[in-house]
Amino acid sequence: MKNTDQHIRELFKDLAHHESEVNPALWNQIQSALPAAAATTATTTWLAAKVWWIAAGAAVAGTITVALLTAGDKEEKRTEVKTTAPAVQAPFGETAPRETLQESDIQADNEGLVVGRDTFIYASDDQENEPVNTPQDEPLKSVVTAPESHEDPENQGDVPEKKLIDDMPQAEPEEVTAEFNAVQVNQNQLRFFFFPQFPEEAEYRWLINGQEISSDMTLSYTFPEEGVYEVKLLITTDSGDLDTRSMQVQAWLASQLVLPTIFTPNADAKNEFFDPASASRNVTIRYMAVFDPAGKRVFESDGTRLWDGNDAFGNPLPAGTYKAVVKATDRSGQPLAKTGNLLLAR
Amino acid sequence: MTDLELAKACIAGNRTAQKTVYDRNARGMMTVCMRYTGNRMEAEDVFQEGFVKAFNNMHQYNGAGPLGGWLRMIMVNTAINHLRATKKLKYSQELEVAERLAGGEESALQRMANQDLLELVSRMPDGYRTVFNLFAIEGFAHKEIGEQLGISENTSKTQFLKARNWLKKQLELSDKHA
Repeated sequence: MKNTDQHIRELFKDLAHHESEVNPALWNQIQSALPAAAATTATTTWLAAKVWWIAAGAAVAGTITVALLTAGDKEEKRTEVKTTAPAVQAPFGETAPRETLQESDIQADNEGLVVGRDTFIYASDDQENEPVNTPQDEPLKSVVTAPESHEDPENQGDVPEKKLIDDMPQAEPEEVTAEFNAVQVNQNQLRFFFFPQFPEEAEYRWLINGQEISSDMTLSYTFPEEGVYEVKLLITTDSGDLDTRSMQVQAWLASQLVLPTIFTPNADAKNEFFDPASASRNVTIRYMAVFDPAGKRVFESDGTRLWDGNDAFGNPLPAGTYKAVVKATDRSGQPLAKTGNLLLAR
Repeated sequence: MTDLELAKACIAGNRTAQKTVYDRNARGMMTVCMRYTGNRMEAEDVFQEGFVKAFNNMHQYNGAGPLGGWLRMIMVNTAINHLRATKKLKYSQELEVAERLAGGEESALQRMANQDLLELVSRMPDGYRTVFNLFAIEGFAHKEIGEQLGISENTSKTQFLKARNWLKKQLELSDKHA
């Protein structure tokens, strides 16, 4: 038996050195998550990507400064972007045009700031490194927010105070900082990866909603359910320097519009209605229409009324393959639409 | 430049050094990720998280072995954590009677190219693929695997036997079609 095991190892041993194709885009995503060269002077702190944005709904006009490091060099590139009130809802929509961002193709996306497939959220708050030309009438708020915040009553009107991380202790540039980043590893899971912006020899403590989760330098965590969580990092160096930062993390799954392909309005209390909302995730149905096999529209609704398989007069329609058209909006209000065949069985 | 010097340059944030480490290891690490996750989408997730972790923890590399080996262990750990998080690592604790593996599969395996072996491992059910990888390819003992996965040594052995039997079945099938 042992010999057989050894034999299998022998047969598979070359697989240990086998090389697979790698999608070239992956490096961009990885390097954008890495700390690069540390600051050499006390006045400039290197930032992988520091982005200031305005809380959704807050009427702030002024200048947003996006300080970026272009990949591969140490020069900080600052770009000023004018915004007008009211601020756009998507943090990366218009306030921070993508051409000011890194080569890693940070894109505006319904789900947040997306770098490739990953959502990056930056908890940076060292305003002392920002240029002085901040808005005059209202100070810039460093906010970790969700693009879909117009659905969140808390975000309407003024910036809610708990969203702000301005009042965190601010580190001098050369001092220890607990600044950290978050990556949603996959938009269809609630798994996040948190890592310090400036990793160093120190004691780390990660807290989620006040509960200590880990004392490793990085934290890989799957949230139990969708929601808003407070993630906090406390860092203590051997010499006793300490810093803490926190971040509001919006843990959402990607919106998915799914159309049922079959329904059976036969009064057995199962599949009685054509109900795309129940089959979907994080979407609001805005419009539904159903066409019969001859192409005639037999049902239309604003999404509040579901199709029961009858025509407009309440007469049951024959079994067959119908065509459904559904329009919806995702969490951030972006339109989604889908057309599909629907088998009506009786 | 030794691996340790390279690692130090990476810690200092030198992008060229980071890219060098990445370029030397990316293709090998992708194989590791494919072996553990069994599909490219998850493999890419693990791959990215693993590299970010590795670069952020590179100060822990002490130059004792090659940097590639250190990276590989980070990748393996990241993959296992991923499988745990996605609930794909589940082991029943009951002891099962190990079926004996009849001979005859070795010659078929010998004919297979590495790419085919990789595909075979990728197709292996999640349940025992991890143990198979750790034992047959990473070369761990069952005791070590048990400690790493939080299962008993016997469970690790049983899982490996299941993997072997599965391999045997696959080879029989492919021989029939050949």
